[in-house]
Amino acid sequence: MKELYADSMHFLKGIITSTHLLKVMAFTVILSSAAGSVSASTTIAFGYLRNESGDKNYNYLETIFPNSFATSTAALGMQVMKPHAVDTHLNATCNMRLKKKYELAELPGLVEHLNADLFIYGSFMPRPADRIKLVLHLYFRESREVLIITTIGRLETEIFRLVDRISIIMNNILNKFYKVQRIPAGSHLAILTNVDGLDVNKLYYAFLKQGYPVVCVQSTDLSTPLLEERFHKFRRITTDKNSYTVTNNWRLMKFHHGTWTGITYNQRIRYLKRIYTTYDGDYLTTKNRVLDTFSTTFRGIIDYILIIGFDESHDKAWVRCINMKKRDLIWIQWGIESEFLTDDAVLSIVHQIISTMSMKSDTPAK
Amino acid sequence: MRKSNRRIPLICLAILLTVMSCSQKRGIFISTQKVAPSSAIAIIVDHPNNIKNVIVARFMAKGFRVIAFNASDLYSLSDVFDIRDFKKVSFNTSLSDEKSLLSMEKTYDNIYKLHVYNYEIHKAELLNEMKAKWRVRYLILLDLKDWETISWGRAVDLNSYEVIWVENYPAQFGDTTDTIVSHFIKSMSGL
Repeated sequence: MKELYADSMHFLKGIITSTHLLKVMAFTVILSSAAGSVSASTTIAFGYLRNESGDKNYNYLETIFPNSFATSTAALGMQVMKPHAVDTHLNATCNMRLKKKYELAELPGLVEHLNADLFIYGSFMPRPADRIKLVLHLYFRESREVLIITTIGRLETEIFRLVDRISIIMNNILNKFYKVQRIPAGSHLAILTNVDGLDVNKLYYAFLKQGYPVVCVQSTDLSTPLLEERFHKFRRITTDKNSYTVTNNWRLMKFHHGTWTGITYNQRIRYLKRIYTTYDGDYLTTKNRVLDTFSTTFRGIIDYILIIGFDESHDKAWVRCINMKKRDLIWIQWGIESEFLTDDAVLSIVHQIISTMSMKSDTPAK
Repeated sequence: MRKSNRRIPLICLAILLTVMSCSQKRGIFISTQKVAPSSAIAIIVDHPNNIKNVIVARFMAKGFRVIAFNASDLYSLSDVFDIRDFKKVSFNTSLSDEKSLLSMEKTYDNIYKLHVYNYEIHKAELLNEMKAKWRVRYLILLDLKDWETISWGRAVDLNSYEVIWVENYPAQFGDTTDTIVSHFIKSMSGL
């Protein structure tokens, strides 16, 4: 009896020191953090928002917008560098000036000079009926990934309303969430995921129960051919208006050739160039062509492609969602965790996803 | 500490563990549409032939028209054009050239992602052909397991391309292949 009691207490201690305790700690950290606060030591540098209209009357917004975003972000407790400070810093440290336009491949080098965690820049274009289109580039230094978002809003006479709205979007992004529209029940979903068998049945069960028809993408396999590790490549999505991608420039690749190369070698180099053009330089065109075929094959019934990537233990996931009618990335979220002490991590995560899908607001379901 | 006082936390712990372990084996079931017994169906399973025979016999006994079909002949991941390009992504670059490696990685990733979409397109085209040629209406997927594990099943309507029936069934003590298949048939057809 004594041994059984000792074993039981030992087992109980094991439970307490298991991941559940880690979840409690994580939950406590999240609770104690103010809404929208990334670490206070996060440094965000702002570049200009380039005026693409050609109308010089709007040039003043090139600094007004980023300055306003910076002020709004600083109020959340983060370190910010406004465009003027960035320009001064670059000039002082490496004899460079802050440009109004950057190629994606230039960002890593630039942000290293700034020693910032995030660099935000972009462009704007006034539209008819007092509207404005903003394209923001958010470059994450640690992962070398860039999130490009396009938003169209009203050019308010009191511009702070527009700034506030954009700041909320940026704040959500800093907390790993970006969503531009509600996905109503009844929408046909094509689900890609890296779980299978029992777990993918749970996914389908949860979506069907909430009234989301599930199209038979991936569901006709007994086991998924999508390996867990490789599936995470779907985290990076490129669409016309919004993208989450990595910075690179394939044109900087060297394809050595000269008079010393033969016909076969030259043919191979041309073929490689074609591959890089098709799958990198012109990837968006290539992808849209594939998505057109994808949609046609399923007779146009797919409304959204929902991509859900689980980690190895299946208690954390990320989401990407593409609107198939508009071919647009409409939802990015990562770090979705299962509820504390849940008995089914996959179902817990899927329920959170479904709650967020159906919500009109821009905040994720908790 | 008195024996009775020690027993109480142990009993509570035992109940808690039992509840937790039971919840892990909880079944799920949903059906948006019944699979009528006179329907033509194709069954995908990954079991030895003797088990396959039991499964098919059960369905046929209930009046289903089972179309003979072997899933491994239907489609494989390599039967898609993009796979050729995997082999051609060049390693003809210096490992110290970080920009080139990043481009190579991104291109490789994009090829893989498009490959997945093309694979699904390929499967859907084959299923469509199956429906047109052999008049198959439903695709049934089954994975049967022993007691203390969970068998699962799924049905796809090839007319609408939708998943219409899903079940995770924890095998009961005394369940056999026959009884589990009968349970699934009852569940998907409402008989």
